[in-house]
Amino acid sequence: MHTRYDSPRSLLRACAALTALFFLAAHGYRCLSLSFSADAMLISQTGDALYQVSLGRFLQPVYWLVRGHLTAPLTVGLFAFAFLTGSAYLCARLFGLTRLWQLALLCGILTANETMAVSSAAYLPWMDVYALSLLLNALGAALFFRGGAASLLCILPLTLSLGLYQSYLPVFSTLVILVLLMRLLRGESPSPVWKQGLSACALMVVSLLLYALLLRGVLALTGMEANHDYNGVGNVALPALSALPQLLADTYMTPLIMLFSLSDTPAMPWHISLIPAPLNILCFAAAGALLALRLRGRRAGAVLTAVFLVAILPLSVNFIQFIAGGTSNGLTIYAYNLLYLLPMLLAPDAGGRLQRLLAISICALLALFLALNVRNANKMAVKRDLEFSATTSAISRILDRAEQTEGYLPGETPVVIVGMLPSSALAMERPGLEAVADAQGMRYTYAAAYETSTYWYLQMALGERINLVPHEQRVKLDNKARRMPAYPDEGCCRMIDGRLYIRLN
Amino acid sequence: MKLPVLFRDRRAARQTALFALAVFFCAHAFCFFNLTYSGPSVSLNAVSSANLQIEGGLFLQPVYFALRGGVAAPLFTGLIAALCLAAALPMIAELLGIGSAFLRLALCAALCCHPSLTALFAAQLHVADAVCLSLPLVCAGVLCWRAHRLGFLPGAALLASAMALDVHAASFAMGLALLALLASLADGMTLRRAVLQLLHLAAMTLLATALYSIGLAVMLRIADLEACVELHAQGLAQTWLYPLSTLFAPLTYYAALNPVLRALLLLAGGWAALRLPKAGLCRRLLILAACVLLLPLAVNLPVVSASPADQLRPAYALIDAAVLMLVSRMSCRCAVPMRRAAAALIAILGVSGVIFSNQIYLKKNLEFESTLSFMTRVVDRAEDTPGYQPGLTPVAIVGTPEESIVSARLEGFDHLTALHAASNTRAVTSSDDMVGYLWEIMGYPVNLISDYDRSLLEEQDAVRAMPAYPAEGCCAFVGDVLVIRLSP
Repeated sequence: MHTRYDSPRSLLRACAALTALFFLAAHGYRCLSLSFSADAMLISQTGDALYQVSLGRFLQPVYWLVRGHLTAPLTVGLFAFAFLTGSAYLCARLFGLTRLWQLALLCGILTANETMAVSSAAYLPWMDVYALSLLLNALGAALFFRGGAASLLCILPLTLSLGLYQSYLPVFSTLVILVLLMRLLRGESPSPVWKQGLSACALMVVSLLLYALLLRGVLALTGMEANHDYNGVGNVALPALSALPQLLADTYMTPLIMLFSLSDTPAMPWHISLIPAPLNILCFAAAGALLALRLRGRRAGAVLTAVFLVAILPLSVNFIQFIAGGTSNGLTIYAYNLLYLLPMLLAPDAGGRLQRLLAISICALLALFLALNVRNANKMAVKRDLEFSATTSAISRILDRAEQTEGYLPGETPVVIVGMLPSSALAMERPGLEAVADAQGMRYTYAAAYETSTYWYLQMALGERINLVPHEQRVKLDNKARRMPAYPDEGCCRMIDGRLYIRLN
Repeated sequence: MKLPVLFRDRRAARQTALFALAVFFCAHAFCFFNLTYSGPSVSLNAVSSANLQIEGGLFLQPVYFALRGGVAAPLFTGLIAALCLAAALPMIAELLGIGSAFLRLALCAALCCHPSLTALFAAQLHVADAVCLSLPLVCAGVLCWRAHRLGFLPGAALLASAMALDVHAASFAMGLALLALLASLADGMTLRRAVLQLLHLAAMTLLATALYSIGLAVMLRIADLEACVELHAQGLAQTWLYPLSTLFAPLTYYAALNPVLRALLLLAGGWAALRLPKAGLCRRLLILAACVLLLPLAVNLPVVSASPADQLRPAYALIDAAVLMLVSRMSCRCAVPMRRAAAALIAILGVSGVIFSNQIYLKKNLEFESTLSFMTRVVDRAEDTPGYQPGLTPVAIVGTPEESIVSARLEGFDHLTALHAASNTRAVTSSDDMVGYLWEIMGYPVNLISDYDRSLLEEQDAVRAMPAYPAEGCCAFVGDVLVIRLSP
């Protein structure tokens, strides 16, 4: 535990080994099994390129040229592991971490957290993209702190990360705040801290503008329009002045509500934190106490600056919600996990008895959080695996009914599938897995989770020759099946006007 | 007699073994942690085809499976295969004198990510570890031959053992031996000594062939079988060209970039051959000529086996090894950047190979699941037929799931069909695999009639007139036999 990893080579090796350990523990099962479901049922991403461009993620199709357009779980896992290792290394260099326990906690926080857990369990096709965005933001922070002209170079990785997945920019701002805070606590005066902070803000704005310019160009080139779905860039617009205070308050409070359960209303409609709030409160209270002890005897300017930096952390980790007009979900909040770096960074090696006690408590709590995250990640992965198997079973029975329907010719008769399995009489939440079902993307009970996902399952997973009508046509034909009973009742599979209708719910 | 030192640098050998394990995991772990049985491997139990193995000349395979256990448990198979490669690669690095860590890592990538291994694990998982075992045996045999003047004796025994496990072992041995000899020539070995080594190699080959023939004859006698092998050979030009053509084939993910990278690699090897510091111009030209003219022939020797040679052989990876052997020795101003460039090129090809192999295993896993779905429905039809009793009623399955009208290619996977082992759409590819699939995979008691009886039944008008699954009437009794027609 007292070994120091001072040289870049030994530091990189340590980060790789520790990241591998946490990655295998938390995501190994997912990356070594099928477990495709819902959005992640998009096993072949070739047809998704333009959609991602319309969402503003125009670099994803470029990235797939390197990684492959098929979501081979282990390939995605290997790339994600490589990017997470790089991120851990850069963060370790940024904060000057050289002790094994510090590196272990750092690698664990970056790898085995709730956002990565839902990314791997429910959004595997994009898990490595998220990890690459994380790496680019960490690289941006590393370049920024090189100082001089080199710090301007951080615009490039920040812009690239926006082109991959916009929601990781808060990683840059949060890392900058944490580095500035630690420098302040080590004796740096407030003036350069303010200068660097403002300069980081300016560079982020430049990156956002550059990204917006590039996006305009790409949309024009591809003839696409910005998507106005809940997760699309089309929703990004200047808010009304009257809505500004509430939007700002929501943006600030969401991370606090998420971490500390400050309200009965969930922080987000489709995602919850699986770490018990009392434990978070204990951890950050200990961190607060350590911060107060470190600030004892410091000048007022330094104290105010430190308090300000800590106070803006909730805004820093969540400003994407502000930009997106109030929308956030379990995938856009990776930066929340960086808040756990604060207690870790404040836990000193030496010091008074009280400080050591607080430091040990923090480390124990963080280790507990990592254990809980690994447990939950595995629960999510096994839930998905079971759902995939159950889907094979259910779809087999449904196809059997279809194939025995008089007049149906496989591959020729147009097929209209009405409804979805998670809303059918076959659906139930598995006892014991209810808690993880509230996490982002985990609420479905079948891999063929909704209409599009059912199509993907049949075409990309099951390899069945079935002539599915296009979605636009299906929507118009749905009403013809209104009077049909749902599977498994007699008559749930019926020929109407030369088409086979299968009603699932 | 003083035994020669096996590895000059033990630390490097250990490091190479670790590299091999790491690269192997990246490329093939998905196969060993999932059910990816396909084609002949659905039989699971390799012992059940012991007679075919002996008749096909692979007489040590039944012995190996008797020790390992008949059933191919994926992870166990994978661990053995990984250990075999981890044992073979340090020996190859030692034989070729590849010292740099980067180049040894590249060597591991060249072999572990080669599509021949992907094809082996994808389509022949039930015997894959036995085939992989031939690699360290070959390497040890060649190492013995190089290490001592009498080393060709144990070398012959090792080579004979390898030939009795894998039909392509001789190609790997000759390719590796040729490269080892060229490496020594590049390091200044006298021509006299080289000729002597060649004579020893010839003796080792002859002795190995004799030992192999004796072993095969004995096993055939014990098992009361007859050899069922034939010579599969191409013309000289085709034999030379084929391994080189596979380098440029789309058997990797970066298929468009591959020919460029391959061409650059070969050019780097050629350049390095002309920059060998310890060889005069004639010797350099001799080495280059041997690599260009002899190596493709050595790694693509005619095969004596029951079935035609596979699309790819692990021996073809030795062409990349030749490049690494040459660049590791070159001496000029650009030597260091050239070595790094060669290592980088192979690393990129390795990454491409890892992506390709993982996509292949994903396809295999999905096909396994989809075949289970299909066969579940078929069995359901059988069970719905009045009079059918599982395990008792004789059953004839006409056609295969592969040819069924409900079977379709998985969307987005077409580029993988360049590898023959991945060109199917269902796990059961032939009638021969059906009993293995039903008994081993589904654990379903079905009383399938013999292939001969089935072929006679297929000629009957009543069977010919039956519609194919899933049409009404695809499952019906013809006499006492329940006939299930899967495809037209």
